[in-house]
Amino acid sequence: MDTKTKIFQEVYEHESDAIFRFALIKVSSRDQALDITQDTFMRLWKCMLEEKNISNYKSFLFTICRNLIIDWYRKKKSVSLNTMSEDYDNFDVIDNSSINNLEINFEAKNILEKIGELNETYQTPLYLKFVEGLSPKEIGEIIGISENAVSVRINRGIEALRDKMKYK
Amino acid sequence: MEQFDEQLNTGIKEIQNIKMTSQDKENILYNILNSPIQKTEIPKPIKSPWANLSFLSNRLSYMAIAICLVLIVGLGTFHNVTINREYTQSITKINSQNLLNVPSTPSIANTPPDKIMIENDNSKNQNLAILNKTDEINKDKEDLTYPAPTSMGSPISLTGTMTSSSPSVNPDKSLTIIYPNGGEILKKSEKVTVRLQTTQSVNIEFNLLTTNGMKLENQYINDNWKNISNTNEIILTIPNDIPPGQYKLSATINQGIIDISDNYFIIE
Repeated sequence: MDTKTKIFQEVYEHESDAIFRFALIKVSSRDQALDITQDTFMRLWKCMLEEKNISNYKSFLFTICRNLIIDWYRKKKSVSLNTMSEDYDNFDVIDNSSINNLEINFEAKNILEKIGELNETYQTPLYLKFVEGLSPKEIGEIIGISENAVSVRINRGIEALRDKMKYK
Repeated sequence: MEQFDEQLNTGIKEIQNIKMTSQDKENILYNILNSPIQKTEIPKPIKSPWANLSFLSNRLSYMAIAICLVLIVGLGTFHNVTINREYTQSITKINSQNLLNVPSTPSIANTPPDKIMIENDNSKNQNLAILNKTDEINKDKEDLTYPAPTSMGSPISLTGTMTSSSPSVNPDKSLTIIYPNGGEILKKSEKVTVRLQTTQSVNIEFNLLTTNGMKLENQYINDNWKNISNTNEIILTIPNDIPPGQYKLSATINQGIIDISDNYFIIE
């Protein structure tokens, strides 16, 4: 086994569940989430074979996964492009109707539903921060905004989430 | 607040428990590692011939070129100023001695050689004599305007004794005054045997130079001093009415070959 394969397997072992989880709550389809996860790691593997420089595997994987989800939304949903913002924030909307289809526990479902009710600009930063434990810098790289903007969105998002859960 | 945090943490932990099955993991990993993805060879870009000039895209290179141009232009200007200054100094020095050293510019070369300045050789202590063919010293002041040797500044206006020189003087001097050559004491009306060393002995003219380098006025010199055709020993009579003082003897052959006594002799 060469070095690249070994590194890839380690990254896959460590990050595959997070990518699958991220895709699952977005597309609400287990099979589709598995496909997106496979495509995401396939692209990583291709980049590694082409010896491209990847500084942060986690950010790289989440960025690819998010783009694939956007592509999937474009193909699947008959959403007019006019209703989408140009920065694709609308693709980060968690579909509450599909969350009910997921076989997850009550608290998890409740949190995801409350996050899904928030402004779409808060959803992904909150999810990546509290569920996946990414830093504001990594989140900024994934969704294409600055580190400070991510911090602001997280703070406002957590306040909004607390308000939604009647804990204010 | 604590209840919110507790509920949030519980929900997050439950979300984090969402995982793929180990069978799904293995299948995906197997599919990826056994996929027909091959390392695509990225062709190397063909180097443009203009790539050799890519350093010009750097702003520093333009600054370096500009600095070089400034240095070149600056040094050229300094060189011109230096030449002009030396030219002005030499003119000023000569003018102060009532001698005008005319540069050999074309306009000067065309000046009629009626007034000639001849620079003696080094063995003669670089004495300068001003002779003209009419054997007159023009004391009138005249203004001369010579063009400056360079394009800098306006032409230089010179005021001084109108004595111009011709660079066409034959430098091959074959005339040497042996006696009197300086230090002698002569008396008025005395007959002096002038000894010359020359290859030519026709049309010799003699004159006396005062301490300021000027020729003696014509009234003191009679025709016996002119157009002499003789051998190396010539007898001249010191004018009777000549003012006492220090003099040098000048000898001219055909207005081209000149010699002057090395030092002053005294006429009492």
